[in-house]
Amino acid sequence: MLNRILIALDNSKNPQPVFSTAIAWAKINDSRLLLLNVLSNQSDHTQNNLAEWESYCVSDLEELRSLSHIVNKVGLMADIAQPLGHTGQKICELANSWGADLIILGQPDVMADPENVLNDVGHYVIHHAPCPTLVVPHQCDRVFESDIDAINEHYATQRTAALSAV
Amino acid sequence: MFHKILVALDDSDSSQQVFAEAVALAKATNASLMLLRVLSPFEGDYPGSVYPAIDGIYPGLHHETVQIYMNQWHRFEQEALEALRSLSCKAIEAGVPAEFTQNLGDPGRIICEIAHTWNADLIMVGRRGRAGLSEFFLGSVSNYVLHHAPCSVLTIQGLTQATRSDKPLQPDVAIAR
Repeated sequence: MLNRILIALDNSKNPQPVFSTAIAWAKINDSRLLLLNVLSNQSDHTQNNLAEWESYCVSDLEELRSLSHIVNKVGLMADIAQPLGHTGQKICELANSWGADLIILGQPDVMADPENVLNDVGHYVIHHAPCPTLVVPHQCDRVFESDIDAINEHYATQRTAALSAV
Repeated sequence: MFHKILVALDDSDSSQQVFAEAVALAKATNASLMLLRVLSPFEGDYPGSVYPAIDGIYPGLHHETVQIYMNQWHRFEQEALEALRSLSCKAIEAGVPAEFTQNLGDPGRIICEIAHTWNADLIMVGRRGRAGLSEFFLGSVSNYVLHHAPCSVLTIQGLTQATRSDKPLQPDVAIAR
């Protein structure tokens, strides 16, 4: 039914529920995934420093690669993409050209920019997407306790790394 | 994965599509459906009868006028409920357990409330397809639901393969839509 699922991973602060949900959907339909992270000037990354910017690009790409390994371990195919541009537009463009049947993204962060709702990525995608869109809340009472250990481990190590870096 | 799907419907054409998608999804995941219709005063065919005059004063109405309005309203409610009931029967015939409920009030809030009390795993909504400025002012239902839903929200636009009329999908060729 859903052969191709595009997952936009940059939209929310907490990508774990998005990723777990995406895997759950993909397993049901045996779909091919596209893990997408759009590099844009709307992200939190500061751009004071070209070297810093480049290191963010590289680390994000590495993150995408490790996630795609997890997907392969589960038995699914994953493509990865890290285009540059306006986030919402890129998501919709890629959904079109890659032929996505479903777009999964995290809940748009209403706290970030409550007055400027029109600019929000989530709203843009929902209104311009060529296919159905699934929005996963970042604080869901019913988050999928992912039974895929690899996903849990991956994000657990990330969290400990973040804590130790502080 | 999803066991309880809340489907938000109205009387627009896209609702038929949302319903079809919901049934297809529920069959694939063995889920049950709750069909929800929220009647709101801002909906197109809500029978209005009381029109404010100058200074926003609502003139008193004759008893007969009130009667007529009440009948109109009652008829509108009944028709909407019948439509819901028939959709629910269609779902059950297709092998999907379904319930339905019709409420009055603010659609966004009621959708989220019911999703909460019924313990929905997924909310399905359609889109009216408005864009630009009108989307900002009038797309308020999906907007509200998006930010306040207790669970994932699936917005339906375009067709998935389940309901698309037999167009074979070639997996390795980029598809222009």
